[in-house]
Amino acid sequence: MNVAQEEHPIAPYLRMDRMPHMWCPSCGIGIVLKCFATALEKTKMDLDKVSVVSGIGCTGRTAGYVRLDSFHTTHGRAIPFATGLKLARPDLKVVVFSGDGDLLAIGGNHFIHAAKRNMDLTVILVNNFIYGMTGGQLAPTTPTSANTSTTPYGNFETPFSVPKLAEACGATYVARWTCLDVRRVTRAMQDALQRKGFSIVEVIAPCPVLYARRNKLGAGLEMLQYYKEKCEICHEAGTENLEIAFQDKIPVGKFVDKPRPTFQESMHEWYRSRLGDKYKTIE
Amino acid sequence: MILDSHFRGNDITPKIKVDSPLARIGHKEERDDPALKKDDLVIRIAGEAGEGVQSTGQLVTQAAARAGYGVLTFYSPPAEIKGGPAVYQIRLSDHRLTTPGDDLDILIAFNQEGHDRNIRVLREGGLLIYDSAECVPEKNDSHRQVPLPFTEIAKSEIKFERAKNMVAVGAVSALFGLPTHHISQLITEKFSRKGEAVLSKNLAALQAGFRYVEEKVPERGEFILDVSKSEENSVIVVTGNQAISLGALAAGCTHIFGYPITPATDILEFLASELPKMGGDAVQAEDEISALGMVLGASFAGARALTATSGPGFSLMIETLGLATMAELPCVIVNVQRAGPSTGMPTRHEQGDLYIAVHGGHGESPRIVLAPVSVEDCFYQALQAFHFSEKFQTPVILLSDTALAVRNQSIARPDLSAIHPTERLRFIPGSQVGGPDHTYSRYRFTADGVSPMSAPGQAQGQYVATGLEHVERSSPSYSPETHMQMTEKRFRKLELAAKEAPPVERCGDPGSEIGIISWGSTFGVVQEAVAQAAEKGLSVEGIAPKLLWPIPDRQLRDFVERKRIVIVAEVNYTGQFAQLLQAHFGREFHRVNAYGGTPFKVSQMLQAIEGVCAHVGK
Repeated sequence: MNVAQEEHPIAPYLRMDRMPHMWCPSCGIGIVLKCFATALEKTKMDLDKVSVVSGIGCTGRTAGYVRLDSFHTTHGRAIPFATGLKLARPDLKVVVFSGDGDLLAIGGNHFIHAAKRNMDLTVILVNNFIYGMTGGQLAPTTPTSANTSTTPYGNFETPFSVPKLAEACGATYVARWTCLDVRRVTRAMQDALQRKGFSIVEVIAPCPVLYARRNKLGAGLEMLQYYKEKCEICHEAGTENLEIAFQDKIPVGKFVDKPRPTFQESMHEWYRSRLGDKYKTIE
Repeated sequence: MILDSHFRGNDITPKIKVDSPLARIGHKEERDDPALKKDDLVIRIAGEAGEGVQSTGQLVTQAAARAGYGVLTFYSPPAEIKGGPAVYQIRLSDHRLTTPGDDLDILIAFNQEGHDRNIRVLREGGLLIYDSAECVPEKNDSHRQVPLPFTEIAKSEIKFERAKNMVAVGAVSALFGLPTHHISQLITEKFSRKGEAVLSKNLAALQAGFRYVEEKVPERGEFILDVSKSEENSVIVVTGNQAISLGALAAGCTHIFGYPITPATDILEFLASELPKMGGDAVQAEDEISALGMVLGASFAGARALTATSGPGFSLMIETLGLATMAELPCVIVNVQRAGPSTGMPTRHEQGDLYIAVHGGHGESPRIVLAPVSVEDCFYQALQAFHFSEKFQTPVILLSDTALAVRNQSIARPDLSAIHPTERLRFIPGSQVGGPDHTYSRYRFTADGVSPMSAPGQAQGQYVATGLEHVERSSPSYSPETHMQMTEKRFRKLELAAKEAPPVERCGDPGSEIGIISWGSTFGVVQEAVAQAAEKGLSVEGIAPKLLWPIPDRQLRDFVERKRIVIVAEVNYTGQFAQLLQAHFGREFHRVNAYGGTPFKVSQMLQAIEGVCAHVGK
């Protein structure tokens, strides 16, 4: 059998004319994208009703590779675009697929407010602890003491704990896995896609070329071995103690799964009670 | 060379700057005695904000408009939320008005500060009415003084101190001959929900004010305005911001995303109350960046969306504006200009954002800039903005200004049945595909630069809307050919927009060799100054384009080339439109600029015209 001629199982979900992709060898983003495509397949979503919005950065390139109605926006602004899209087309499942720097630094304010509103968006946040596309700078998730090109003596700041931040802001579904655990990542994505409201799946993924090399952590395989050794599943732990210290344990699991009315549900209910028959929606 | 003309003025009249290629222009210090005009009356109510200055002014304005008067107002709130000096100025006439008027015929002072700050703009022979309990005016022979104990009448006669404003409304109505039934009908509509007791007290207060003036100001013939010949039959009274909101609704706008900012906020407020009843959404975003981001998301989804802001918010939107151009997404951004830079003077007027509207942003991103010249035009340019943005799939900036935003004006009721919103060019599956595997080419090259646009979920219509430079099928490309061709595609739309510019406004004598170009609310001042110049035998022609960018060459070239002298008048320091025109037409313009945070006065504009005419020898 000629393997090269066999179609990749997730080819129907990708714009194959844009392959090969631009991600580095042993980068984790491709694995996360594969999980996402599998989750779409397993949930049997109508692909005409799924839209992907990305920001800027390595993960931000995802919007260009998925064979869906997609929007590759400016740095940090994926969530506002997704919000406008969801409001104008409530029938769509809108997925924000972007990186930790894009979503939490330059786009932090939007992340906070979309979670607060419980906008019906699924956020897939690929956390590789660093800015990849610009060459290895400090990210809001970089562990303390890790070396980046803008913290050449090591990072002295405390990183964000994504699940804690998300829950505090009002997210209704929060999970974290590493990209080594593809089945759990996929299942978490299925869960998130099927939830209403602001759901977020944080996926820890290796950046072997910049993060691992700068910190002398070996190649992609060593990064995955670190995940394997240091992952601790703690579903019911709450989001209080989920920080990831440098090369230390990685608490993973599903931490939040408590629905509350979405922005649009609340809006409809409220306006109906206030305006009665005068209220007209575009559902 | 810079020739400064210093205009003698009062505390709200800054000097204006004249920068002229002429060797010397006439310099006039003395002012003509303002001729008494019976067809036009300027009333200013001054007092403490929150004391009823605004409500008094609004009631008189609405009633006068119903009675058939042409009405134009301006309201200057203090920067603080409550307290601080506020003024409400009403100009009434038997015809359409274009400015709120320079000097006052009547000043109504609710307190001492209201008197002190405004008495200098009361014309000679004008009338001061003051609350005798709150204010002691200086003796002055140049105008009449009438004490009117608003507070005392409300307290002792009506036994309802809060009816003080209604006493004032009655007094003002009596002064210029507003038939009482118009105002009492309005008050009945306004207060009937609050019960019979409240309504009757307010009506009694109205009558008390009315009677007081009839008794104490027997000679008021000069203030009486006859509107029996008025041609207005169906009018609405709106602000510029309301007119923009109504225009957006008429254009089929279903989504507004905004962030609070003076003086644009009431566009979001107005639409937040209307859109839920019309199947749309109004959302207050977390900042202006996200506001425009949400607009683009909604536009990608196929909706007509709007955001409204002022200078500081517009500055934040600039990066996103570039994405709108690059991804070819229709959107309308209203920028109600205020005085900058930075926080500047949030409640003050300036036309200082033309440069950023036209050129703001990195790279070269074509966009269309429109400016309404009047409150009525705010409605029609909002329509035009949606027309252009849907048609050319490019961002359109509607540059309004503070003077228009806060001005209440009676305008002809728009004929909604005559409005047919423009549809964007839609992708029709099977007919407009291209490329090797017959997939959809979102950015297909076309003669006019406009490519068919699909909506999410549309069969065969999937594409990536992107801020990266891209080929026709939207995948990223950094090749020189692609960037050149795509840049040309994006700019081709502007060529067409310039040819389809909405009609210009004109005034004055087409045969004159002196021309005056203005934009936005400044045109209203030019109109009046040109008319006054004509009365003095000075011939000038004024023109105001609505499309500022791209420069509407066809509309302006003849004017620019044939006039011996062309003045460009605008409320900014650097002469922003003059600069763009000079670059485009390669001729020198005579620049007249005001930059003190208030619009030009008509007298200043007239003086500038007179200076030029004196030089030309006409």
